[in-house]
Amino acid sequence: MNSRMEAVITRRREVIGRLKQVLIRSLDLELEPDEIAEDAQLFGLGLGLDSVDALQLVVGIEDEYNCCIPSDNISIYYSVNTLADFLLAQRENKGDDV
Amino acid sequence: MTSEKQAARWCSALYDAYKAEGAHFASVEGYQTAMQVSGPAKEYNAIRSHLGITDRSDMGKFRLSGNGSLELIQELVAGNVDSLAENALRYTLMLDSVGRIVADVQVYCDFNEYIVTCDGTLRDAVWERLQGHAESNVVIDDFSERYAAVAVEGPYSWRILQQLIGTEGISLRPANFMHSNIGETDVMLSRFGSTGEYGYLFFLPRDAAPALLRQIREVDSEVVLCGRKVHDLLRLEVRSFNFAQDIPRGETPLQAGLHWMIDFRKKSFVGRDAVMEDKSRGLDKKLVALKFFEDGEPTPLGGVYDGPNLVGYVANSGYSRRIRAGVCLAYLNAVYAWVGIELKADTKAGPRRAKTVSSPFFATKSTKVQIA
Repeated sequence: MNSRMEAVITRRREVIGRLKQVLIRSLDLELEPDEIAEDAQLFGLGLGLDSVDALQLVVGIEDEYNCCIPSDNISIYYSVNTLADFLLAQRENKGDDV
Repeated sequence: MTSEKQAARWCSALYDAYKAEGAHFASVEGYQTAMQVSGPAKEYNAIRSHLGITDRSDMGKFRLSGNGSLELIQELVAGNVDSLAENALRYTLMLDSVGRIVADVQVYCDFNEYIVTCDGTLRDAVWERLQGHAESNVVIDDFSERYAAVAVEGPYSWRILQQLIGTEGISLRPANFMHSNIGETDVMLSRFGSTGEYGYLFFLPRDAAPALLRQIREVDSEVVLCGRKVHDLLRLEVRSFNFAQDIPRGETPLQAGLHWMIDFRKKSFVGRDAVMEDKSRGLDKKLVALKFFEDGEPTPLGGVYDGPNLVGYVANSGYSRRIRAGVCLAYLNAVYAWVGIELKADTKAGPRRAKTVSSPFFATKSTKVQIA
């Protein structure tokens, strides 16, 4: 594995780990981080979150990362991985620490 | 059950309608299934942009009644059925004692009874599990061949419900179901699909299925009749679990990313010890989505490489009509199983560049269409 790939994986792993903690803490989920698959759907089937959970999750992530997440782009909220995609793209665009 | 199958005219409940449209049929576990009707592009576009109807009467359908029904199903599935509300369904897994996936099943909680449904290819496996574990006071009725299942899927599928069922139908929440009538026919309507679009399943007496199709066509003349084949791609694009494609080497539920179908707090179910051991040991490989950015359709079970090193293998693959690229799900060594890295994977034209990506591969139209 080359160093560039290693760096990508390290960044992704850090963001995913932190996001799972935010998810569990914000929604008071009875889950451990390794019980959440990164691509699992957060709403509907999957983790079965609802619109109230969505609001709490947005507040939790915005507090954690001191950022603003658009509420009208549903594709961001599909899974832990899609949330991580958004946060990592923000970091690239702004040079923020995610 | 085998003799019943042989005796019955076990074929699509919409056979005549399919035949009239020139459908290609194939036998799937003894069931004459329409594989393709008007062509892959037309069927795909119908479900992705408007509305498609698929006969799913091949599904296994079992009703569990009597004392002990809850205990039976609770022991046989990895999800929690005890907490299931009336008129709700749980999509979960049946495992064997060493934690391998026997079937993915939908369990419906229906007024002191439970209905278990599954893909037709898994019907015998589910039947054997139910029979093998049932106490004498549990009655298991296999009504697979008496009832049709008709799937209505697409970003505007809810308009059909509005006309045939009324506002109660369109207010049905995901993973819930209701009983209703269409004319004089009793139907069970479930909001459950696997394409990422709005999806509903009508369960009704088999003989009433052709009339349902006629009524749907009266509401919307542009409805397209679809075969089984197009669903492999529709499911792959949104990473809906596909038993026949996603676990080619008997991978575990956690390796396949199906954590959400398991209740880790549940004290007992068949396969629990193996699942917990898999979890505590840590995964050696994980299923990840890859998108190709060079031409070539990925080869099932083909290798995935980092330079010269083999780091995984392709499980489920296809060519996405929406994003116009080869896509696949591949098992990668755990250290590589992260989104955002570039690898190579085998295609019919040789190894080609691909990137690990989040799934689904795109946001479906239904995520942008509001049920009115």
